[in-house]
Amino acid sequence: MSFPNSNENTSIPKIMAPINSYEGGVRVVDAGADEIYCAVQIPDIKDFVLYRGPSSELPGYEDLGRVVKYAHERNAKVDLVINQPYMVARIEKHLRKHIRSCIDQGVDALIIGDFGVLSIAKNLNVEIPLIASTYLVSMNSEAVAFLEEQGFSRAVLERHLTLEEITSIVGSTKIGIEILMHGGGCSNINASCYLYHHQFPELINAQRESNTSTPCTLPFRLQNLNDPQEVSEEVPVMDAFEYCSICKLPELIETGVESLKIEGRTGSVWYQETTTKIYRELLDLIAAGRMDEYRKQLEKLKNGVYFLPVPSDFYKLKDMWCWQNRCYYSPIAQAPYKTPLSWQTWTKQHFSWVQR
Amino acid sequence: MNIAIQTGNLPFLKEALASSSQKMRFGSEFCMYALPSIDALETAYNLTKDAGKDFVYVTPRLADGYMDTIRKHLLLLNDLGGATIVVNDLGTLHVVREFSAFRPYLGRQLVYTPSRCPWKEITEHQVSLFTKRKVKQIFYQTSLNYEPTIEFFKGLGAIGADVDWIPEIFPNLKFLSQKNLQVSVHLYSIPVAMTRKCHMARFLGEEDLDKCSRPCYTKAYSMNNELLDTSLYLHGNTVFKLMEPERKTMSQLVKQGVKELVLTMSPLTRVSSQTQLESLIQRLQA
Repeated sequence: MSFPNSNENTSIPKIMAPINSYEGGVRVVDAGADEIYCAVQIPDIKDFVLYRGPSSELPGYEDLGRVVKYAHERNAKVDLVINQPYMVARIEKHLRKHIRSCIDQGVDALIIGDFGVLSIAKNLNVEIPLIASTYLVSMNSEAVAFLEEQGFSRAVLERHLTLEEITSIVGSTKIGIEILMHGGGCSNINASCYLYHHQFPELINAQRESNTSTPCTLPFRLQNLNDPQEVSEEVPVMDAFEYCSICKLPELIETGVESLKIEGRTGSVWYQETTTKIYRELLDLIAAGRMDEYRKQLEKLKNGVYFLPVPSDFYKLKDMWCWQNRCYYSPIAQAPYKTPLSWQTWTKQHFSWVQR
Repeated sequence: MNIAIQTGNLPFLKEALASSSQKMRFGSEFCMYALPSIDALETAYNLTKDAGKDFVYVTPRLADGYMDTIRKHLLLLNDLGGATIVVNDLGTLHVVREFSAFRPYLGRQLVYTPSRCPWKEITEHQVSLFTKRKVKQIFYQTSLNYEPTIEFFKGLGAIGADVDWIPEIFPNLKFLSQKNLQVSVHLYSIPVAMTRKCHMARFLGEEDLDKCSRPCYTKAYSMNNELLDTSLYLHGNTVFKLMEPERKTMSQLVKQGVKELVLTMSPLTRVSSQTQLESLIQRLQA
């Protein structure tokens, strides 16, 4: 891994932090987020939930207003997620009203994942910047050029790209590019995944029984259709996993992206704050050219700090990511499938005297 | 009802050309690593035209490194006289619009269809019957059922769209036909989740997808977990559910103005020869 030398011209990307509560907004802004992104429950269509439930959203416009006020007073921006993966006429008037209400609360940008929603925003003569969500699957420079033509001023790239591809896209466009840097690593392409997480009784039961939060973490029995003798049991074939970028930050900065996104609107306030704080500290060290301190801090984090979306899960960073090749933007083809880390495994790995 | 045959390689295409189908779809719908070589594309085009049949080029989502390849493919097809291009990537759509000889057709990855979801019963919430009905009405639409969305894509030159054999969405397809968008319904396999990394290649130990040995030409797997009351299938980088077409449902499709079905030759659909194709075509057209 190469680290850039101290370089005052290096432009440090903004940190985009997720929130789902006013408290979260306060804590991530204080932790150093440059921008925060959030959704707000749409009053009249809350019975239709596919990916992220109400727990990922602010409960109402009043909370949004408070978050915006707090953030703006501290020079941070607030982007509104309207990630409807598709639009239907039946919810049009509700969405129209929703967008207008959120703009009235002072949000700084809209994150849009569908051309139907885009048409509504344009129709409302929205004057704030529009950000193309990962739902629009920007994987190449031509796609980003297309989105620029449609009026977007920033595009969030699909997470399945390499650093070289990201650099190439950044170099080809005038609009801002945002990439994911930490959190839930969907193993499938967002907009092409219909393994929803909510609202289906059989799925909810399966997740409850297996203590998982998404179907793409479940193990499957694989059987070759043309050779039924070829069977593999318990293969976590989709292998969704949490991803991390703390060691990759210098390389991510060098790509020239405008912002780095932490995933986790459904996470706890504690997770949102801790993750933001860690990345803020590391980015600031890099920005100041204090690379030795950055490296020391990395080692300290990997060996001692524990953070996960669910606070009840405490593991070393090393166990979760490093030993299993789970860095964002690293080749995954060769990575072994996730090793479930029970507390027994963890103890064996770290306290060999227990075994003796 | 026309039946178009979709294939990703020349041996399958040759089998398909010997069938009674009048339209050949050639290319890769889901995998950028499986784009045909320029020679294979030219051969496929010429073989199809020599057989007096229509040629459609199917393209997947692409990363930057493959945009040059797709541009070369489009230049070749432009020189050969143009074709319908099934587009699954916004970048490809952007490039296709540079050529007047092409007719973009929206691929399944540009048509959001929530009911591709494999879980059977929607709404776990305790809600009124009215709300359940409302939720279902929303769930069984495609993104093209919203007028500004369909107009947006038509404004970009789209002449048609691919959808899946999901009987619950059929009543909503009439809207697409009425908007003068041709509709092609894919038989059997419904894409449920797709990745770039390729779940199957990883499972089989392929180390470099650029040099992938294409196990998907010969293999497909069923995927089962006892907690999930549903069967999924793994083929290449895509997880599918399968749906057997019923003859009575076909008549519904005709009423909605749908004129084309697409049959993909692959280990997943277990159609690989002209004989199998012919018997299926006859069964579907009966």
